[in-house]
Amino acid sequence: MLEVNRNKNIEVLSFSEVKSVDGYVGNYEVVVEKKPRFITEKCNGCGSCTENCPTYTTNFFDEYLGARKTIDIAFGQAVPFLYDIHRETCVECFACVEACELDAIDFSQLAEDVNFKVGTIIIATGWDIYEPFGEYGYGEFENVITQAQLERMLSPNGPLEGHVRRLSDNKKPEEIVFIQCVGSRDTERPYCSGVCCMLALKNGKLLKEEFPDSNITICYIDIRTNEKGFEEYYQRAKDSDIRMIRGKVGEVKEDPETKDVNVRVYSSLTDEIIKINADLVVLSTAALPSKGTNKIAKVLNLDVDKNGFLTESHFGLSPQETKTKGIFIAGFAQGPKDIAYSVSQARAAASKVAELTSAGEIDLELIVAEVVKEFCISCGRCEKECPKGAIKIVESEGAVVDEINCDGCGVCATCCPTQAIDIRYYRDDQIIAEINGILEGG
Amino acid sequence: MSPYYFQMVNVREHCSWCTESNEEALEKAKILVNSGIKRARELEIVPIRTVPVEKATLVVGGGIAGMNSALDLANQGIKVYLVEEKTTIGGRMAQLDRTFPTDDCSI
Repeated sequence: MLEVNRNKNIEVLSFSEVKSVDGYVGNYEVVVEKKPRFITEKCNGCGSCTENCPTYTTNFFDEYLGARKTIDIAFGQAVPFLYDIHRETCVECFACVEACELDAIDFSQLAEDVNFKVGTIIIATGWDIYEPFGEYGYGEFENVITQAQLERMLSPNGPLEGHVRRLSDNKKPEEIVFIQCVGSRDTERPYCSGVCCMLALKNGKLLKEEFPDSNITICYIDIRTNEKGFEEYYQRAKDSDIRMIRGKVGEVKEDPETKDVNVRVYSSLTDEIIKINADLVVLSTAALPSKGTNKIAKVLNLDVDKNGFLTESHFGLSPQETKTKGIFIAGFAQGPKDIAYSVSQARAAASKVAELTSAGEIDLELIVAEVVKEFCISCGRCEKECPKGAIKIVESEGAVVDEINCDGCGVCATCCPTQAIDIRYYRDDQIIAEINGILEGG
Repeated sequence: MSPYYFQMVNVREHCSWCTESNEEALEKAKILVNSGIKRARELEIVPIRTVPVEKATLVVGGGIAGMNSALDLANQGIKVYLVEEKTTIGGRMAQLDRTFPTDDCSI
């Protein structure tokens, strides 16, 4: 992260969103909206504003376990190391402004647009985590948490400084149950989230190291450990005394006094119903396409599959390319995958970008609309219908095509009342000749 | 020869694979070939326009994938604009304690 921030060729635009992209391969005009943090670059991260802030807000970085101050930094190693103010919870007492010795707090900051030009685009908008409210008691029972929340509990920079405790009474958990495939591999989300088997095995192992006397059970449908070193990892987890039960959990009930969670699971391998009085239940919830993926797909008019992940132009042969030249995809935005695979894709996408950039120029084949001037009556229908704004009526010239921006979709050709427009390579004459050939026979 | 003078007749998928009788398939193939020849006569060269490629790239998303793409490109002298919607880069990976299968620290 620091390496990214220090690299002089990288401009990090954090807390920002891509607003619009115009143009074509090699020449994209980008507008990015930079949202206001209400903190200027003068901030040196001393933290006196946070100390003096009286209000709290939600903490996305800790998966909403615990709160953070309204003025705070995402986490200790955040890059850029800049604070931000959640204006929704800010009471505007200005205690932070008084505490800041560097005058780095500016409540008048507004969102600003940043404009620049690029030749290529890589989309790596990652994933969101399914919040399983209503499933397996999540949101209702205090000791039912998600895998993502457990990650934050295990992390030394997390809300519990790496020491996992029950949320209800702060006790060390002794009987821990993992439930796999929550919200995925079902009718709504038929896909496998790809990473949860290994996450559960890893976190089970870490919990076993922290609490050697604890019992850890993983309830799974299938265990998927098919990449390098994964199967060995699974065997090691089993050797460290993690119990594996193949079967979906049928019932989860909370003991109102102890806040323990009673889990009933049918083990399909031993044909028995197993009851576990769990201290802590961890749900491995589905990975979702991120909201950012959805937004950028709309801005760039990219295709997504039925699950909402970005579609590559060819699964096997062009995995990083999209249908639009010069726009590439990488990582979880394209579909579930682990870190190693994400990095491979990222570097593959970078390589495709470098290929285009180092050539310095690209040939575009102009299979686009062409206007026969003599027939054009400047009625303007084509201009109105063109989805790319690539055809305009110019006085004394009639309809004029912007050959670079035209996609050759043919909408203008079909709506032209005088048939003045043809699409090159798909001209009326060419298609009619083909049809006549069929009608004539062999 | 210009590739735009090429006309393909798909006898396999459009004819032999989907027609049961051999005789009918042959007749259909002849029709398709005739149609292809008629179109080929009308083909013409499609013009090509060479455009420059700006030596800069936009990377959307500052997680592990976005950061790796950005570094690879920046190290080749290509200007990178890395856009992240959160207040910090790092993405999901920064939230992890350790990573499988090596149990390395994630940050």
